[in-house]
Amino acid sequence: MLFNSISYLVFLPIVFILYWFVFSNKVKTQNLLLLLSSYFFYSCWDWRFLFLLIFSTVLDYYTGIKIQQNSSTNRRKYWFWLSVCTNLGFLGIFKYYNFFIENFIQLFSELGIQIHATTINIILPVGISFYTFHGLSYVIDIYKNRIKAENNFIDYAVFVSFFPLLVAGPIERATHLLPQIKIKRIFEYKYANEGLRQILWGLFKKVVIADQCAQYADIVFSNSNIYSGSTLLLGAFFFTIQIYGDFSGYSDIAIGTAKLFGIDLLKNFSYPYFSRDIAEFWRRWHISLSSWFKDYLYIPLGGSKGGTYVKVRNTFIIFLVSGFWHGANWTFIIWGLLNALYIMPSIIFNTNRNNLEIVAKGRLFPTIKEFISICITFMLALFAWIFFRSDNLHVACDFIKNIFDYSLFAIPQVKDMRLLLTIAIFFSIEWIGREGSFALEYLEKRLPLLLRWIFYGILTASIVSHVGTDKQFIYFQF
Amino acid sequence: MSELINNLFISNFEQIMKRFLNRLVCFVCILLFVITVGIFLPATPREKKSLLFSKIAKDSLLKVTKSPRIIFIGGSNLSFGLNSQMIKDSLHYFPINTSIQASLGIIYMMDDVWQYLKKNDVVILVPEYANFYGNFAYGSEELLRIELDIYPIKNISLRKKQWLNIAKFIPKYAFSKFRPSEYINIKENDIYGIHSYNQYGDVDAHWYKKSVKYEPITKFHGALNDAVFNSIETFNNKLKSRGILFYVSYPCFQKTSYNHCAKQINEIEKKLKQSQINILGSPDKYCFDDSLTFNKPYHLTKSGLDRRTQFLIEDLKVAMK
Repeated sequence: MLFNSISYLVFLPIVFILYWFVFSNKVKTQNLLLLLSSYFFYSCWDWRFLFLLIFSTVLDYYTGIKIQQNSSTNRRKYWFWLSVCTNLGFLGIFKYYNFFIENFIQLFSELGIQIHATTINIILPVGISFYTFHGLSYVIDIYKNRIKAENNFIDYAVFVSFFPLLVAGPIERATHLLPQIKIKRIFEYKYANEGLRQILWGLFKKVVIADQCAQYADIVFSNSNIYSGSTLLLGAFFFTIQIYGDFSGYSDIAIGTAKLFGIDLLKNFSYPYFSRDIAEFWRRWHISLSSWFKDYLYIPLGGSKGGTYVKVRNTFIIFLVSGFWHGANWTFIIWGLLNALYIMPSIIFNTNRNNLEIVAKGRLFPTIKEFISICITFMLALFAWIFFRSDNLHVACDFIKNIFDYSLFAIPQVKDMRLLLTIAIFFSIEWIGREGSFALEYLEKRLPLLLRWIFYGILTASIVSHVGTDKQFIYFQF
Repeated sequence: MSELINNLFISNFEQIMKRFLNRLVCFVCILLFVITVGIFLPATPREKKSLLFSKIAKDSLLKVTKSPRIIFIGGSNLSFGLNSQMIKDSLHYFPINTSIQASLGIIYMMDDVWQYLKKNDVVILVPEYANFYGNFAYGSEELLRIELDIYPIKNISLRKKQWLNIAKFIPKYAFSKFRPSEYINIKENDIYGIHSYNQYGDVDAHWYKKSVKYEPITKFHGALNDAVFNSIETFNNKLKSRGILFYVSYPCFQKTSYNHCAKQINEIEKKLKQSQINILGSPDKYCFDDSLTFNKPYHLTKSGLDRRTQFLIEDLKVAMK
């Protein structure tokens, strides 16, 4: 069930009504409803994988309790590693098995040794990377005595499986979400209203921006050998916009939906394409994953303590792991590596925390220096996205090689002026609203009711004018 | 005390929820009103110049063309892939190419043509492969446009499943009526325009145009739909009882797309062979080199469509012996 489908349009109001009108008396029944709805939502993809989700939930719930109950370090370690290895084992089998087998076969064949191993024809369970990371963070936090184990299974299961975040995040933390699940939620007009606006904006990003850009990006990336350099560059530009619209759109719908149920989810995007350097970009892009890696990988590895060498090493590790998290393909690893290289100067010269505030705060326009920095950062991100989007490294290298050609200065063969105009309008709205948690957050203060409703009407009309494709979200494959 | 707090909370909750729902319902009602107005507005000038409106002329061809007739039913694999003049010259039948585009759905195409058929007609159905998968056969946005804009009075003829399939396009359809670009600066599309076809119903506007690069089809969405095979068999039986010859053939298809979808196409072929329907040719026979396609996997260039027509003529000659 996709967020941009008719079935979700039916599913969401039903759960909303049951939640606030039928089961509103007790938190327990509300949570049970959320859990059952989430399992139903998940089983709409493939009910068989529901068992995997439930197994993973039971395992982490049980090991969490066991870790807390045992005072002996060895027993705690045993339960901790049981959970970590099982979770990563599932992820490894479903996501990385074929990648490792294929690469081992290739490596050995290059050494002159022929080995026979079978790859498996396996479907990747949707959302496995996300719910595995939920469970891992919970178990690690208990092991590190940061939180207490949850005794109520339903509450814990809702934390892992809450339907808005189940398949593509934001990757939640037990410290943030579990306390909200345990207390009685109060319906707040402002909050619910904000939720609806965020859903609307998320749908606009997905359906109008991302899906339309996808059409061009797909054409250009599939036929990169025949297009001019300028067309390829435009194709990479469309993909850069597509992936932002797609993933941040999903996050907006997820966060907005959770708000309708009185639940606050972690922010996942904060106008990354307005960043002035790559360090800032990574503080604003997929925030919940970046902070997850920071807390559970970068800091345990020593973080920035221990001198420049340790910092550089740890930065490379988290970017490589982050790339690999996205998929079992060398393209993702190179994408991660490239980003690590981009960020390296700021790590070495300690300038990675120069731009913490949003650009041009309190001003309408950026300075020329800020504008140039934004453009450079955007181009660096665009270049890295070429690897992310390409099917393999060979295609990516050819794509880049073909960009840097005399034809880079030719008129692009694939273009859509209307789409470019829509993208310009979209970024203008994002720019105006960049001080809010999402672009339309402060709209209520800025526009009178009538104009607001006209604006919402136009957004809705443009969304429904693009229905029919029901394109899957990119991050579902991760 | 706790009861008092509870009551206060409940009344407060009710007030807030009421305000929220009132506004939401109000917004939805305005949207519904705009959609309703859009539905009842007539077809826009831009739409009236589209290929879809060739339906009217094609229907009149079906009404006035005298026997012996050979009627082609299908999607754009036929409209952009047939040279009816060749059919006429070799088989000495009057060809009528009723096809417009696949997204009308094969169910609609069969139901719609039924009223125009006469004894001794030869009917050739060439559905695009996607028709056999998922709900594609029940039609898409274009079917809605035909029903609401071209034949607004006749629209009760659609089946329930077709309505369910096209209902999601209603808001899009309605909002399109308010788009300024539908009313100003209208130019007829040189390929997909109302005048892009010849006297038999074949689109000929692209015949001497250069091919365009496009994305191949990698798979057909959804599961194999048994109901579509059943509908074709029912149609076959109905035609037989009226003394009409009926054949099903395979669409022309770009080789790259064919290779991607070979497994799914084999499933269709297997299923069709199991039925009582007369089949013309085989899928691989109608698979064409990429260089013979025009701008989509089902659309052929002039040399491609001449070759395809030749194959069809050969198959028909054998079948009609």
